[in-house]
Amino acid sequence: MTSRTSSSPEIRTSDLQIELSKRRLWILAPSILAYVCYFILGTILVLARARRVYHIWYGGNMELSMEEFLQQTTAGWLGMGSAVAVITVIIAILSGFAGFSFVYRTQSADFYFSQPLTRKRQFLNIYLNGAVVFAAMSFGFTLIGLLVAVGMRGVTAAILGEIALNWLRNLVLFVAVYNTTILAVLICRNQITAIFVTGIFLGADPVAIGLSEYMKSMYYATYYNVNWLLGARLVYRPRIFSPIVNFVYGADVWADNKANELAAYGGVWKFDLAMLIFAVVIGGLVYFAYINRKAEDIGTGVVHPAIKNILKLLVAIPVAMMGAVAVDVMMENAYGDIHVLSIVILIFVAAIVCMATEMICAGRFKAALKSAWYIAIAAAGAILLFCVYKKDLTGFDRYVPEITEVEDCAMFKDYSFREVFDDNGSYLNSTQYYLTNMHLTDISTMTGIAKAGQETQRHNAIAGATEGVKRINGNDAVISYHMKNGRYTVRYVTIPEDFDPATMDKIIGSDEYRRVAFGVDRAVGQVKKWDAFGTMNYNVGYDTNMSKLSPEVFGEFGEAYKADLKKYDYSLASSEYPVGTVTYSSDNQNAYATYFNYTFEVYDCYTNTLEFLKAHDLYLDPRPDPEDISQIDIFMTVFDEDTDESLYDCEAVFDERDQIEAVAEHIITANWYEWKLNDRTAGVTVSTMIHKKDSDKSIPSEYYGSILNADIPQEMLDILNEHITYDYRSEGGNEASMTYTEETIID
Amino acid sequence: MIEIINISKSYDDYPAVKSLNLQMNEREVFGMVGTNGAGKTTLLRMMAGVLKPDEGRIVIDGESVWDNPAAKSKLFFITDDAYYFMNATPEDMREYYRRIYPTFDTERFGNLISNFGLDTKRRISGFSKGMRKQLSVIMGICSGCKYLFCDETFDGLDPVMRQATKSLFAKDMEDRGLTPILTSHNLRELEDICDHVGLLHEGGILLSRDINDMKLNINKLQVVFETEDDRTELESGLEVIIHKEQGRLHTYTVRNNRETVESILGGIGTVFAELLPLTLEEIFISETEVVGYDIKNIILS
Repeated sequence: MTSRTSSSPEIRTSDLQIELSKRRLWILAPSILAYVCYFILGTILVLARARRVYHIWYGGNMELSMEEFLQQTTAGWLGMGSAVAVITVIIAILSGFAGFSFVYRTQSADFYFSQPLTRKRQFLNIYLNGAVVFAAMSFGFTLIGLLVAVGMRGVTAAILGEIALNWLRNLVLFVAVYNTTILAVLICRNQITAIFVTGIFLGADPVAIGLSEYMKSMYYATYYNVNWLLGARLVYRPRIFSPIVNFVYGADVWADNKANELAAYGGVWKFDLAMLIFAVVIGGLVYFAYINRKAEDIGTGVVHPAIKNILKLLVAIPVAMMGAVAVDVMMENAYGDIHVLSIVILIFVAAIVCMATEMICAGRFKAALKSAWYIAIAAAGAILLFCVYKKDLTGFDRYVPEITEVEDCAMFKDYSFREVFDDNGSYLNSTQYYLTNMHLTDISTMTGIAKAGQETQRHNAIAGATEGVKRINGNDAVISYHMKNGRYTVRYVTIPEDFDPATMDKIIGSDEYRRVAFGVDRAVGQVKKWDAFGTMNYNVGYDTNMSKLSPEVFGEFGEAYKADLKKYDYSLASSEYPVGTVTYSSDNQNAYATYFNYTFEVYDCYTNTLEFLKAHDLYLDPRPDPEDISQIDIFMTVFDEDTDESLYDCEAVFDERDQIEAVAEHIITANWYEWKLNDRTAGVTVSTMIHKKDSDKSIPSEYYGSILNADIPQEMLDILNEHITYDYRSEGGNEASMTYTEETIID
Repeated sequence: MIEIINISKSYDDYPAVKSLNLQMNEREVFGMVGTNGAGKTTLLRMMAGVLKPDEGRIVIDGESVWDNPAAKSKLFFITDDAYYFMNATPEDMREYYRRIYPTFDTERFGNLISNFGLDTKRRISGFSKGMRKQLSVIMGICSGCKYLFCDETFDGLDPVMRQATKSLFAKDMEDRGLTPILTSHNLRELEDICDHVGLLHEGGILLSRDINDMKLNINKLQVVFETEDDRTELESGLEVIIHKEQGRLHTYTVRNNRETVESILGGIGTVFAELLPLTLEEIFISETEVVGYDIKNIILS
């Protein structure tokens, strides 16, 4: 007998869509409520608030007009910065379940699958119903929100385009998440497992991103995160597996482009394309899964053992690895050897996760040990992944880019006492400033420094966790490579103190470095641009002179300082302390847009600068007159010469004339200038307090400074050592601190 | 006509239906009986196009049923526990079926629902099991489909409704050539209504025959022989399915018609002989006992 196909009375697609839509009413109701709240009430409230805030906060005294401010607000609420994507994702997940979870019950499966429809037509109808209902609903409410914004004078043609684009992006996001959810539904045999798998599908990539960043920061000694400073367009790259991440990244890049006055959609298309490709590929898989799904696949677990095993490993490997990481965190052993407890915990967690997955999939306790050998695979995978980070198997800490791949580079201290401003007087993060403004071209020298610095940084990290390994002193710094492909590669390094100063001078002594590190031209230009009259302070620690200056005079200072900067290099900065610091602060500190504050250190060899200071009555001797000092309070921490561990703190007050004179000429205002090597005098930190005899003088009555312990006479050191205020070596050492009494003052 | 050609179906490693061949004619009530787990529901689900056979195919009026709307539009599947939409009323379901089955008879639906005493505006979730069954039968009847697959449909219906359903089936068979395919454990029920019976056991078909033929061709014989030779002669002349012996009384279940048995009995010496017709239930027990589905095995194992 041969089979044939005859025609049957056609079921109208419109009829199917009407009936399917009725089944989605329970989703429509909360969705409409959410949309009403966002697009209608939200738009009204946000724009009304913007109108009110404009007057209250800025009193109309902004660069933006009221209309521009309202338009900016509309763009933030309905445009690419809109938070409506959250609603989109929720509706997509609910729609996926609403449309296809009928496959989990025999009754409903029999009902739908016995109907006179091909599987293909049934799938397309159910699938399209969810997408069309969303598209229509979101379009309608976006339009209403837009009309509300138009009514409140918050829309331009550009914003209209942005809102339309955002709607399209939300549609693509919906389809991608909807497809992902349906795929999870179709590969599972019950709703609980499907919810679990949907969570894995949607959350795996964001979790992987977070986990990767955490592991790098935990185990890579040279890791230094500058992503938050660089701007989305320079950092974010399209992700393969996460439409949600791509959506967020795309919106961030859009905002970054606009902030930098670039073509707004530039680069955003990559994320949208990635979302679209993901949606199409998953859509194909969804179709395949539906067509081939067996109606009897109901009950526990997933439709194919291979899927279960992949999911099991996907969850077990990172979770087991985090078990080992938790041990390292608790034992502060990030850079130590792999602890046996880490491996024990890792295997234990891998076993628990694998067994739990089996139990969930099989729906019975006894199934826990089914496919037990996957525990070994999961544990091995987790150990390998753990070692990739723990033992730096990828060579992250050793990686130095090829010179040919680098456009330019930068080197700077992690923390700078210098404040940096943009041309509008807004504060700039110094790291961000160096990253984007410093363009050093001697890449060959830089990579040489980086190799030594990365090796030392890794060594010191290991030394901190390993008994008997001694730290290497050096200068901490950040080295950043601006790659030719537009990306940044950044490493945190410790340049060892015995590193060749001549090599360092090639970088620190270069005009490319000095121009950006001190930013003299930038400062002078900004002051002149805003005609920012201000006050110049010259601070030498024990006293400060100040004078009101015009922008022109500040320009003269700039010329003098630039001339002196030619002497600045690593050899100078690492061996000498400045004699004082110059600070210039604009007077109009209350005006938001034009407040500047610049600091420049002055070395003894900066003759042009010192001449300028003298010419403007700002100059002060670098050392106080011992006659002005009534007493000096020295407190210091004594370190073990071998281990660098703190032994004890001691403190004593000296008011004998010969004692004061012996140390006064060695007092320095601070010991933390850039590139000045610390601890060169082997572990003594000193501060002073000075009481002025002549209270009529307008210098501070006391100030803090430092003194190298090598400059403290032995007899004074002996006195200090007799007055221990805190002993780190004894348990409950703080008891010693309680003995700090008047006895510490030497009469 | 429905042709089931060499179909097999397994659930994971469990074979539910094994190389089964069956034929169901139009305008006949086909009853499927079988032991628990024999594969009746699996077979119905395959016939309805819900399950895809691992092997073989099912052809309805010359068309393969799997993923074929033309074939599936001729059948309506009344499941044991029918599915209704959440919060749906009979009216809602009528609307749905009206769109899915273009031959759906809305007017008849109104009449029947009224005759059965069901409220069209009441939520089905508030219906009793019997009322839900009634509604699914009404939907099936009104769908206008040629083939009505009924899985345990009479279970849960009260005697009056059972009778009413049978009458509806009879009327539609007469009026428009309806062909109901029924499964049930209630063999008395099937005996009343079925023209043809298929007996399933462990995924295979033990027998499939016209019910009258079946009843005529299987008989129970109680006999006391005069001599042992008489016994031998009788047993060699009949197709004995089951033989039990109690003292001198022998009880045989034989797969022979009445005439054959009487003819053999006439040629041998008997002290006592009585030929009894079997009910469908007795036939079911006899046939399944032959293949090892015996109450003694279940109790004594």
